Formats: sequence, C-alpha cells, structure tokens
Amino acid sequence: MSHMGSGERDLIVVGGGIAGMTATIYAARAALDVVMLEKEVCGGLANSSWNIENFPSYRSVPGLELMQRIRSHVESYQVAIEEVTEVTHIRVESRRTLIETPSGQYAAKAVIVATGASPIRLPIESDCGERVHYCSLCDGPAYKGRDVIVVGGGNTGFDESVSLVNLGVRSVVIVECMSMCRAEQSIQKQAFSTGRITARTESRLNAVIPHADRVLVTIEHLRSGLIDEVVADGVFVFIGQKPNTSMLEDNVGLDKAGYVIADALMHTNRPGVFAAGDVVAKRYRQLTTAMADGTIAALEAARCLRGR
Amino acid sequence: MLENITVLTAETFQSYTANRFCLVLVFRRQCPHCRVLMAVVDKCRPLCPDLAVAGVDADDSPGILASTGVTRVPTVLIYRDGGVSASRSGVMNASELLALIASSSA
Repeated sequence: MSHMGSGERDLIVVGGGIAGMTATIYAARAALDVVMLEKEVCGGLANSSWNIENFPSYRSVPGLELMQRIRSHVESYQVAIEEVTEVTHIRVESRRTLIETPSGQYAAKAVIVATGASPIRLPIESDCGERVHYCSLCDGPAYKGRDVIVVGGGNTGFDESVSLVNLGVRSVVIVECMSMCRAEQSIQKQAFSTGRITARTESRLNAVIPHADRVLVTIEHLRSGLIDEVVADGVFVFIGQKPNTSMLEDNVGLDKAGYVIADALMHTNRPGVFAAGDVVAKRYRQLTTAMADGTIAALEAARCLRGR
Repeated sequence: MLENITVLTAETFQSYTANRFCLVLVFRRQCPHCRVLMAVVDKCRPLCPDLAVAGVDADDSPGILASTGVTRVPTVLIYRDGGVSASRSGVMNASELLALIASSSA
C-alpha cells in the first residue's frame, strides 16, 4: 500500500464534521502538519439540518450554509482537506498511527477520531424502498401536496417534519415509540402550530406495503396492541444514529453501544489517539459540544506532540 | 463543486445529451446528498477522461425531470448515443459510480 502525502504527519483528523473541522483549525493554528480526511464532504450530519437554531451567534441558519462557512474557515489555513476519502482501518502502533484508505496509507504521530455517527435505517423489510427516505431536503420536494409519515419524534424528526411542510407537504404524521416525543418543546410547538403535523406516541411502524401508487403503512399502538393502517405517499425515517467506529476494530476502547470512550481531555485508551464529537461516548451530542471536543482534542494533541 | 460542471437547461439539455457519452447529475442546491455525489463525481472524473459531465438543477428544470422520469435527487443518468444507458438514484461512493459508468457500456 502506498504512502500518501509527504511522509509522516504530525496529526491526522479523521472526519470532517464540525468536531473535525474545529480540531483542524486549532491544529493549524498550533502550526501542526495536519490533514483532514472525510469520507463524504465536510459538514457531517449537520449538512442535512433544515435550520439550526441553537448555534450561538446565529438565531437561525441552514445547516449546509453553516458547515460551508466553517469549511471555508478551515481552508483559510491552507490545510489539506481530503474529501471522498474513506478511512477503512486505523492501526495504532507504539509511536505512530497508520490510517488506511482505498487509495493509500497515511501515517501520523497523532490522530483525532471525529468520525461522527450515521442515521439508523428503518429496521423492516419493504418492497417500497423508493418511498422510504432519510433526507427531507433531498427527497421532500417530490411530496409537495402529498401525505407522509415521519418515523421518530426526536429533534431531528420534528425539524425535518417542519422542513417537509415548508416544502409543501400536505400532512405529516410523526410516529414515536416512546410515551411522549423527545424533541425540545420549542420545536414541537413550532411543528404543531403549522396545523399540518400530528404525532402518534407509543406507536411503532411495522410495515410499508405498496398500495396502488401510494403506500400502506401499518402502525401498532404498543400499549393496546391495536393495529392501524394508514395510506400515505412516502415515509421519512429519523430514528437516531449509530457511531462510525468500524475502522477502529479493536484498536481503541469502545462502550457497549460502540462509541469511543474518551476522558475529559479527549484521550482514548491509546496514547496519541484522541476522539471528538458525536463518536464519543457521552450524554449530550450538540454542535457546540462537538466543537468543544474538537478544540480540546487538538490542543491536547499539540501539547503531547511538543512534549515528545 | 457546482462550478466545475455545466448546468443544463430546457434549451440545452437535448442537444448536450444527443451525441455525447456523458453523465448528467440531477441535483438540488440545498441537498446535502447531492453535494456528496458532486464530490464523488469530481473524484472520478480523471479516471473517465472520455466522459462529459453536466448537471440539471431539479428546481430550475422541472420539465427535464418530467421528460426523464426522475423523481429523486441526487440521480445520475449516463447517456450514450442519445439515450440513457444507465441510471441510479441516491448517494454512491466512487467505486459504485465507476461501476455504474462501466455498466453503461455493457
């Protein structure tokens, strides 16, 4: 396997979400030789957010726009940003870490794992795959004037439901398995005030079946066991995320759910390997907490490299 | 990304695809998956020097969507000899896109 770039780097940041981009900014400002690897494009899950309303300094900003602004900030430091570069394996050695990608291998004295999390797919088989979606901005416009089901009553489910209504969707039914929706009250209030969004709690979507040119959705009320059939045009799924840690295998300590275990200074159990953002085992996963993680991880990486 | 491709309109679409081996990416400007696929296309372009690349903005050109039957973005259409020889909707990685391009000549 060929070595990429100019030999061993000081630091490689794996993941170009907000945690990785923040870490890269701090690493560049610390004069580290840093490269950031991103499997898709910079921005991570925030790229899909219709509107972000909890990022200090912006009352409301589209996720894609905010992430592009941060990416431009990273670029201003003339840092190497390698997009569409999927890391397949991170191998930790005694004094360096090897990062493998389909196009070659990178080596670095330190690495920050900021690989984030990915949406969980709908856990049912369906012959209606073309009508099951995971991004309202991408697929929502096709449902203008039509009726959709949204699976998941968290912040993302409600935010995307509002996005769908803004795109012209006629009605949205949110299906949430818990006894109450977990989204922030302000987002719920905004959604219900549209008059076009309703929610069914303690309910689970069991099947999506072809029904003429629409779909028949089977919804089970978990407490009573009653089954209801609803005809809709499409289904959008926002039921949480799972950590992107497959490239770590057994090299770094993970919790039972697969998240990276890191201490308050973002050190993992392996020297020279730090973690930041949604991939870290923690209670709160917000843009602001990811930025804090990225900041600390980069400063710690710089401190450790100077002390070598 | 977007600045690297020719964006087709109702006036230019037919003539562009009539005689070219080309990839047409149907996208929306605010679609994150479309940006990912644009980056993938950028990465693959040097490996396919004979392939022309263009885009269609789904919001600006609903007529093209209607005539091609595209309902989702991103969608990739590969044209050969004036007709669609391969197509796929959704995000792909580089190897999947290269396989789709290769399948268009099969």
